[in-house]
This record gives sequence, C-alpha cells and structure tokens, in this order.
Amino acid sequence: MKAICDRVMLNDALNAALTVTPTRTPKPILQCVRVTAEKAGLILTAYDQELGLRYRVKEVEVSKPGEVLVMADRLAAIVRDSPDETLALETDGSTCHVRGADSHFQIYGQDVREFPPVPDLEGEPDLKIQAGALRSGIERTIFAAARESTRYAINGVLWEKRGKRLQFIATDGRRLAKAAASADKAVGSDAEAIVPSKAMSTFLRLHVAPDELIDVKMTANQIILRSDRATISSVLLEGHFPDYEKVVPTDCDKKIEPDAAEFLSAVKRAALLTNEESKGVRIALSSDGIVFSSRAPQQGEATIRLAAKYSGPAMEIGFNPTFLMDALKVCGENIVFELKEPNKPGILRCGTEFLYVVMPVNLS
Amino acid sequence: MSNIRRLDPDLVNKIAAGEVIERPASVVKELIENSLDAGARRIEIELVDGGASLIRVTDDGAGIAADELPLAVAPHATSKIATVEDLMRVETMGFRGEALASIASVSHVRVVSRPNGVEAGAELSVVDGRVEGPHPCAAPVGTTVDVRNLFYNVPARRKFLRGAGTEAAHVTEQIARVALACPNVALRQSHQGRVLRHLPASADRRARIADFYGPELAADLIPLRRQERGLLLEGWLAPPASARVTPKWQYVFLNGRYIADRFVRYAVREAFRGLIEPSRHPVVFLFLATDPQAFDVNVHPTKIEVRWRDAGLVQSQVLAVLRETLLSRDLTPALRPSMPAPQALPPRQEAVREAIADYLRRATPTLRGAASLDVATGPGAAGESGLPPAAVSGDRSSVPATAPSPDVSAPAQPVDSAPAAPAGDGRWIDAGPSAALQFHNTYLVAESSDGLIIIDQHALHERVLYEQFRERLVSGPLESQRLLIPETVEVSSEQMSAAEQHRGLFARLGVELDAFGPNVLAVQAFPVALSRMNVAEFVRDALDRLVEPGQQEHPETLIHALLDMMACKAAVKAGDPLSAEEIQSLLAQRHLVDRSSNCPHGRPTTLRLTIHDLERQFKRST
Ligand SMILES: Nc1ncnc2c1ncn2[C@@H]1O[C@H](COP(=O)(O)OP(=O)(O)O)[C@@H](O)[C@H]1O
Ligand SMILES: [Mg+2]
Repeated sequence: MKAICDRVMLNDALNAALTVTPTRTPKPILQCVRVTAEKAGLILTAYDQELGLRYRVKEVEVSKPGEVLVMADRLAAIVRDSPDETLALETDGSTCHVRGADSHFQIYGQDVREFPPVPDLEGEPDLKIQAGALRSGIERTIFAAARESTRYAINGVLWEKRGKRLQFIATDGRRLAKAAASADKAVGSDAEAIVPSKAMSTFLRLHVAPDELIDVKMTANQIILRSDRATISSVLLEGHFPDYEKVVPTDCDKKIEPDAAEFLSAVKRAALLTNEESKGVRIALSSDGIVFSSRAPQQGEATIRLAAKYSGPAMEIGFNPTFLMDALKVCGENIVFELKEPNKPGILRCGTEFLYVVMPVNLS
Repeated sequence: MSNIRRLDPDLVNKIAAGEVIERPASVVKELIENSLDAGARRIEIELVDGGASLIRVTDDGAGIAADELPLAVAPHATSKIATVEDLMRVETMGFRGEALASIASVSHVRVVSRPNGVEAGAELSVVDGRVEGPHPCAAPVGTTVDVRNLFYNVPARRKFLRGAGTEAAHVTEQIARVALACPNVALRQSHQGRVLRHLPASADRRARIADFYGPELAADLIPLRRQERGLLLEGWLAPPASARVTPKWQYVFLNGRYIADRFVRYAVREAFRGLIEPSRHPVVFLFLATDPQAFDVNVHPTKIEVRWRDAGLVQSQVLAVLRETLLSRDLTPALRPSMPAPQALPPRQEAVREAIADYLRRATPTLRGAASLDVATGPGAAGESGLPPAAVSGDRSSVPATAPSPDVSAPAQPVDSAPAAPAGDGRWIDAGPSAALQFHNTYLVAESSDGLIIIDQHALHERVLYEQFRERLVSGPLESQRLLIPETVEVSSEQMSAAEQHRGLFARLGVELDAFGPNVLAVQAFPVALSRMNVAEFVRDALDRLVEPGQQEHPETLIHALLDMMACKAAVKAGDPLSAEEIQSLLAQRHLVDRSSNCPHGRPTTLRLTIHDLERQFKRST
C-alpha cells in the first residue's frame, strides 16, 4: 500500500473511528483500525462487534492499493500532532510507515485477516432521509434514553418507520421524549428498531451536510446508516420497549405557552440553588404567569418570574430542573406546556414533531 | 366498682402463653427443646399450613410415664428443677414447666408417649381446655406432640399469623438454631407432607451451616477457637466480604442454646469495624460454653437473653478471638494512632509541625492559602483505647485504620471554643481551596495544628448525607421523583407484607410501592437523592432490613436504619477517586452537620495522628 493523504481529512476520519473502538475489551484486536487503500480512496474501518464504522477519505492519492491493521489511538495521535498538510502512508508487511516532512513513524501492525468482517448495507435502503432531519430527530430524543438500566431495551431509542415518517422515542422511566421526521423516500413496510445510543452518537459526530441524503436500512437485528463518506452499522437492542402511547396523558387541562428561551433560562437560574438531595424546582402557575422557585437547605432560595398567559386555576408542581432543561435545549421555539395535577406528568410540546412527557418530583 | 379476684387458671395460662407463644415457630421451639431435654437422638417436625393447622414434633427420647402425662400439661410442672439451687445451674433447655400448659391453653394438644422399657404407650389430649386421658395406646418409644388449631381461641393472634410460607420460614429459622447447636441430633422437617430437610446426626456443624445457608457461605468460613478463664469459644466467621445487610446472620449459642446478646453483638461489630461498610453486618457462628453458674437465663420467658455475671469478660473474649482470627488471615494490622495531645507543643514538636505543613504545601498546588490551617483537637476524640489494633483489608494496607475507644458514645471535649467547631472535633478553614490530599482513593489527609488528620472519605460522606436526610425528614418526606414507567421488583411474600406494613415509612423516605402481582411490587416514586442507584436493589435491601425476624422495632428506629442504608449507598465509596472540588465540598460540608466525627454507625470518620505520636513512633521523644 502506498498513499498520500490530506492530514485534516484523515484526522476527521480517525476521530470518528475512535468513537467506535472500545477502550477496554477482552479482544485487543478491536482497538485497531483497518486502513484500506483502494482506487476510490482510503477506507478506515473500526468495529466493536456491535457497532461498525466504515469511513472513506477521498482526499488521497493512492499509488498502490493495500491494507494494514494498526492501533487506532496510536495512528490517531500521530496524525493529530503532525504539522504537515499531507502524510504519506506505506505498508511493508504488517508494518505501517507514516511519513511527514520531518518525521517517519513505523507502527507495527497486526494481521488484517484477524479483524472481523463488518456488516455493510446490502440491497436497497428502506429510507432516504436528509441528514439534518435525522440529526434533529436523534438529538431531540437521545438524551432521554436510559443509560444503564436493567431494562435493557430502554438503553436505546426506538425508531418507528411509518410510511415516510420516522419517529424516535426514548425513555428512562422518568420522562419520555418523542420526535418525528419525514423521509424523502421510503420503500417497504413499516418497521421498528431499538437503536443503541452509541450508534446514534457516532452518527451525530460525523460531519455531514444537513441536506445530504442518508440511506437507512433496518433488518431484524441490524440498522445501517450510510452517507456519502461513512457507513455506520449497529446491532439492535433486544427486548420489549414500553408501550409509550399508554404513558402519554390525554387529559391535561392546564396549558401555558411561555417563550421557550425564557423558560429555559428561568429553570436554569432556579436550579442554581438546588443540591443533590433537594433537586426540585417548584413551578407555580397563576394568572400572573409562572414563578420558579428553589431552595437548598443551608444554602439559600431562588425566585424567578416569567410572564405568560394563563387563565386556568392556580397550581404548583415540582420538577427535576435537569429534566426540563434537557428538553428545552432541543425542543424548538413555539412550545406548549401542559399540566394536570401536582403528582401527574407534565407535557412539553413543540408543533406536531416533538413531545416530551416528564414526571414531577414530590416536594415537601 | 371492680373487685380484685384471682384469675381462673386457664386465663393465667393464656396470659403466660402470650409471652412465649407468639407464632407456630415458638411452639416448635418449645417442643424441640423438650425433645432435646429428653435426650432425643432423632427429632421430626411436621407442619401443615405453616403450623396453623398442625404442628407435630416426634422424638425418640426418654418419654413420659402415663401417670405423669397430666402433670406435663399442667402449669408450673417440670421434671427439670426442684430447688432454687437447681435454678442457679440449669443445664436443660426448659425449666419453667410452662410451655406445654401454655400451648394447650391456646390450641388443641395431643401427647402420645412411651418411656423406654414400658410395654404400652399412653395418650392424653387437651381439647378446649378439657384434659382427656391418659388412655393406653400403642406407640413407639419416645414422645409425639400434636398441636392443632393454634390460637383457635385467640382471634387477635390468629389474625396476626402471616401466610404459610412466612410462618414456615420462621419455623425453619428455629430449626436451624437447634440444628447448629446440636449437630449430633438427627432432624427431619416436612411441610404439607413434603420433606424439606433431612439432616443425619453428624459431628460436623459446618455441614449443617451448608445445609441451611448454602455451601458457598460454608466454604468461606474461617474457624476460630479460644479457651480462657472458664469460657470456651468456638465457631466460624465469614470473611468481611461476605457481610450482609441484616444482623440476623450472627448466630450465637451459649451452652447449646441460641441467644441474642448485646455484649457479644457489640464485640462482633467492634471486631469488624473498619473492615466492612457500616451498613453491613458480619456473618458469624459462635458457640460459647461456660459454667451454668456464670450466667442467668431466667431473664425473659423465651430464654433468648441472658444476664452475665461478668459481661465485660465475655465481651472482651469474643472481641479478642474475632480480632485474632481476622488478623491471622493476613489482614494487615494497622498502627495505633492518636494519643492525647499535649496542651502546648515543645519546640521540637513545633518544628515537626512546621515540616509537615511545609510538606503538604509543596505536595499539592491546591494547598496555597492553607498555611493558616488551624485545627483544634479534642483529647477525647480518639483517645488511648487500650485495645489491640484493628485491622484493615489488604488493599488499603498502608493507611492506618481505626483503633477507637470502645465507648464511642463518650462525648469528646472540645478544647477550642470557636463557634464553627463541631464538638470535640477539628475545625477547618472555611475559605480557600481544598487542604487535603487523597490517598489510595480512600482516605483524605490534612494538616491540623498538632499533627495530621486522616479522614475516611466514605464514612464522612455517609455521615454528611445521613444528617442531611435526617434534617430533611423533619420538614417532611424526602424529595422523590415520580416514575413514568414504574419499576417492578420481585419480592418474597414476607417482603410483600413488610412493604404493606411499612407503607408510611417508605412514603417518608420518598419511596412509593404498590402491589403489582402476588410477588411483585411496583415502585411509583423513588428518592431524588438516590437517582443513580439501582431501584430494585435498594427496595429489596430495604425490605430485607425490615423483615429481620424477632425485631419488633420502633418505626423511628427502622427509619433511621433505612436512612443509614441510603446514606451508605449514596455516599462515595472507598476507592472512588475524588476531584479537588469534590474533596473541598466534602470537607466544607463537614461543618454543616453535627457529629461529623463519627459515621452513623459510630465508626469514626476522622483519626488524628499528633506530632506527639509521631515523635513517639519515631522514637524521637522519651
Ligand atoms: N418430648 C418430651 N419427652 C419427655 N418428656 C417431656 C417431653 N415434653 C415434655 N416433657 C415433660 O413435661 C414437662 C413439662 O414440659 P414443659 O411444659 O415444656 O416444661 P419444662 O420443659 O420447662 O419443664 C417437662 O419437664 C418434661 O418432664
Ligand atoms: Mg419445655
């Protein structure tokens, strides 16, 4: 293998690969990245046996195709710290040489044949969707997914394909976020998949233009996302995703439409005086608008007023401010906040594309 | 106007039964003890419906002669003691002559017995208080006692009985106690006609421990033995890692009788102090043997408590054997820190103090501004204890652990009267950056005016959280996050009823539990402060703590036990690396709580090593 490569583009590719390679694994070979030089460019492959990434660097001149398998973090560090505009990559058996204007690194690699094969998108994609729409659907839900729940299925985001509409649902048992996006093209029947968070955060880290079309293919146990440069494949989470429609209340009779940015700012400031064991921010609705208050024993109290139109009966309810902020940061502008009772869930809506159900905290 | 009158004897028996006969397990205990007293080599225990319908205990012991059968069920009739002197040296399990009479007053009893060498057996029944018999009948050598319809005439008690499973579990606990005390007696236990356990006579107590508590626990046990000053101590302890969330795994026997003794219990806790998390309890099996005159069992009708002639001796012997055993297991001994501090430091100690201050200043950049650290010392805070050094577990070996005074409740006396100083404890400079170093991700070390302070990060954080929770509880229930999708927890039927019974207590802690199925609880709300914790695990541990048998604890005691557990689970652990901010915030919170010098279980959070100590240890002073 012999290739001359744009350093910045190679650096991007390696950073993407590093989000996939596991830091701790019983199989050290998975900490390697496979570098394949072919006519169309340089392809980097990383895989942790659940999540795979294939990333094509096009800004490269390949004079001799070939392949090498090297430790991903080593190669990434060399490329990151190099002052050069371009780097020359060359193999000699399993050794990879990286040359810059003033440098020569030899990295001892491993046998490429030992690296497990990574699934690829085969056949027609089920969906073609704009990268910006996909990104927004993920960003508006991924934060609500559980992290280390013993209920395995909720450690990911449920994707529902309904015709051209793609819905994303995530919950950690305390709140639930649902977002929707429209695909440009859809074939085949409706489908569902629970996608692990790591696959989606890998997608979020790719540099993709918002209007670029992403191919999506969902099989029984795999999801594959393909952009012009990158292909992400991931196994799906198994298990039963809770029946989310049941937990979305339909009887909220108290509605208020505050300005989203002001709402976020108020919650954020009220949260300044909370602590570990008294996290809750109190929200009081009255005809004067909303009053946010908090209290941390031994530290102090906060009150923030927000003008908003409200004509229902006065009520008070407590929320974990983090839960509100998480959603307010991503929801969009025109929001409706709906409540029923102090011990019943609240709903945050933004248009028909975003819905957030959040359980209150009992304040004393 | 009421008249004073003598109570009818049946009523007297019923009142006596109230003290001793609480549930089927108490009946089983009394009957097995009678069999043991009769020299039985084989005892069979059969139950129907958890004992509510039938309890039958059969033995191959000495039997009761036909003409003595009526006496056996009569109150205050016993073959075991005759004089006050006898009472002073009881060696039998029974001696009150009350059990059979009490049982017969609250159930339908039938006794069939044949002494060895007698041709025929005899049978006697007590039905609705009327004695029928004795009639001759065919019977094997030994005695069979049937107890039917327990509490048929005490509806309050009958209603109080739990499900068959729970009652059977209590019975098993009683059988386990006898099985461990008397391994040479064969035991057979059945329920609803199904044999649950068949234990052949054996010399091996450990095999019986394996039978009841699993081979894993038994395999890990470390044997112990000590004989001194008329007290023989034998048994096993489980290594600290096997500690449990409840203290019920401390089996203590005295001359073959299971006892619950606070002196022994204290010694056990003391021996393991610093080796296990404060919310956990050691597992021990201790068999004590001593002259019957060295204690009095006639304290409580159930004879589960004893009054020692010399409780201090027993406590120190138990402590000594446990410590010896723990130490011999390569649990590296700790140095003994902290002698009383002198009021004024002589010049050379002043110089050492300077040197330590200097070292700490250089050792960490965050110590800038800490030169004026001024920590007052209470001489009683961790004074000369006279106890052997405690042990620390291997991985934290290089850091001294605790060797506290045995009387942890003794108030320490503050020397410094600065208002911010918690009683008897150090005072930290409020402002400025963290003035402590973290060692082994477990201890924080900082300078004090007369030496060093070593803080157990887990113990201190636990104390801080505990106090915060406690304070919160005064103003209402703990803040709790409601769950959108309730989390389900599988529980035993006993745990289920505990959840029901202690609903109010859970509510105060911010935990809302609903029955969701026969053995499933749904958690509807969970405390905010525990948000990172595994919900199911917490609920199960909490219920475990609440169903400890034999502990009719006051709700306040229980709630504090649970607060302990919460604080322990939420606190940073030994081995957690802390950032400078976290250290600082932990040290800052130290002022905010009372009694920060000890963790909720009384384990010290802070040790001091004075310059005086250092001088002595380095042999620099005389
Ligand atoms: N299983 C048994 N075998 C032989 N004798 C028994 C048995 N159970 C009871 N007895 C006799 O009945 C008496 C009364 O028993 P109990 O009421 O339990 O009083 P205690 O055990 O305190 O003497 C005993 O002292 C004993 O003589
Ligand atoms: Mg008896």
